[in-house]
Amino acid sequence: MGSDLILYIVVATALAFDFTNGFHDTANVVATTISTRALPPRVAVTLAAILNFVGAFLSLAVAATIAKDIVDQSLVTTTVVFAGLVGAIVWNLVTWYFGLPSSSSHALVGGVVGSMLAAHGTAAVQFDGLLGKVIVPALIAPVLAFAVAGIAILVCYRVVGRLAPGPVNRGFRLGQVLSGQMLALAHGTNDAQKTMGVITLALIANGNLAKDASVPTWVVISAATAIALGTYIGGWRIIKTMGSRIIKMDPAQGFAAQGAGAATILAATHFGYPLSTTHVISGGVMGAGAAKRLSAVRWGVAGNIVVAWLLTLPCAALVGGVVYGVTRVFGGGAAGPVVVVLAGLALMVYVFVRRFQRGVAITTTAEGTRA
Amino acid sequence: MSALAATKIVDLGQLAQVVEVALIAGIGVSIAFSLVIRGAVRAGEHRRERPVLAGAHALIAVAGLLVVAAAIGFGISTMLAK
Repeated sequence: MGSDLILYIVVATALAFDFTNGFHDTANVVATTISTRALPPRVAVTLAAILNFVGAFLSLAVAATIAKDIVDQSLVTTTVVFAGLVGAIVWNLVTWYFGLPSSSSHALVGGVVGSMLAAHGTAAVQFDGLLGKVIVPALIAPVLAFAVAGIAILVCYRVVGRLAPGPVNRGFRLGQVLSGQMLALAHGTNDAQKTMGVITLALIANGNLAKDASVPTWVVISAATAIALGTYIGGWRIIKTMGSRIIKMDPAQGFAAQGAGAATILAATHFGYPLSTTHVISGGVMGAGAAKRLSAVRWGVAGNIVVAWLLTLPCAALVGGVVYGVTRVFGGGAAGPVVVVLAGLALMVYVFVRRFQRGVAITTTAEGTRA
Repeated sequence: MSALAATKIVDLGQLAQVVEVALIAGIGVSIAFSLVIRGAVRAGEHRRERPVLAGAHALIAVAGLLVVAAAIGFGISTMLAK
C-alpha cells in the first residue's frame, strides 16, 4: 500500500514536471513566431500545445534512453525517482522565475542522477550512458543548430536578396507558421518522452512492469496531455527572453532558426538522444542572428543562458540528492514524499502568486509594440 | 579518460548521422522555401507582361513547395517507422 502510494505520488509529480516542462520550454518554441508577428501569441501557443500533444505519440526512443541508459534500473526505487523529479521541478521553477531559459531535460536527468548518487553512490549511475547519450549530444546540439541556422539564413538572403522586403517578409511569416509547428512537434516528441521514461522507470521499480516492458499507452496519453496543458497555459516570461532579448529577428531569421531547431531535434530524437529544446532553439536563434550581424545578438543575455545551462545538471542533481535525504529522514515509507509534496505545493503557490502579481511580460514584446 | 575510451562510449556514427540529417534538412528546406517565395514573387511581377516567364517562376515555386512538403512527410514517416 505504502509503495503504491509513493508510486501515485511519483506519477502525479512526473506529470506535474511535464506540465512545468511545457510551461517552461514551449515558450522557446513559439517565441520567434511571436516576436516576428507571424502569429498572435494566443494562436501560436494554442497551435504549439496541439502539436506538442501530437508529437508525444511519434516516437518512444528517448523514453527508452531515460528508462534504461542513465541509471542502473535494478537499483531504482520510487523514492529515488520522486526525489529526482522534485530536483528537476525546483530547478525549472527557479530558472522560470528569473526568466532564464535553462534545460528542463537536463534538470530531469540531473535530478534523477543526484538522487541515485545520494541513495546508492556512484555505482548506480551509468556514466557511459550519461556521457554518450546526454552530455555529448547536449554540447553538439546547440552548436549544430547555430551552424544550420547560420548557413540557412545566409542562403535564404542570397535567394530572396533582390526582392521587395514586403512580400518576402509575408512569405517567411507564412513559413514560420510551418516551421514553428514543426518545432512544436519536435518538442512534443522529445520532451514528453522524458516524462514517459521516468514514469516507466517508477513502474518498473515498483514491480508493475517487467524490466524490458515498453511504455504503457496510458503513460503516453497522460504525458502528452500534461505537456500540452503546460504549453497552453504558457511561460510568457521566458518568451520575452527568447523572442527579443537575445536578438531582434526578421521573419526569415525566425524561419531559419525554427527550421534548424526542428531538424536538429527530430534527427536526435530518432536516435533516442534526450536533447534540450531550449539549448537547440537558443543555438538556432543566435546562429540566425550572428550570420547577419554579430552585434545583433545580445551576448550578455546569451551568456546568462549559457551559465544557466552549465548550472542545470549539478544544481538539479544537488536538489535531487537533498530531497532524497529529506525523504529518508521520515523513513522508507510514503511519509517523506508526502511531506515534500505538501511543502512543494505551498512554495509553488507562493511563487505563482508573486509571479502573476508582476503582470504578463509578453504584452511588452509582441502586442505592445504593434501600435 | 583516453580518447579511445570516449570514442567507444559515444556512438560517433549515430552522432554523425544526426549532424548530417540536421544539415541537409535544415538548410535544404530553407533553400526550397526561399525558392517558393522567390518564384511566387517573380511570377506575380511578370504575370501581365511576360506570362511564360511568370509560368516558369510559378513552376519553381510549386517545385519548392513540393520539396518542403516531401521533406516534412519523410521526416514524420521516419519517426513513425522506428
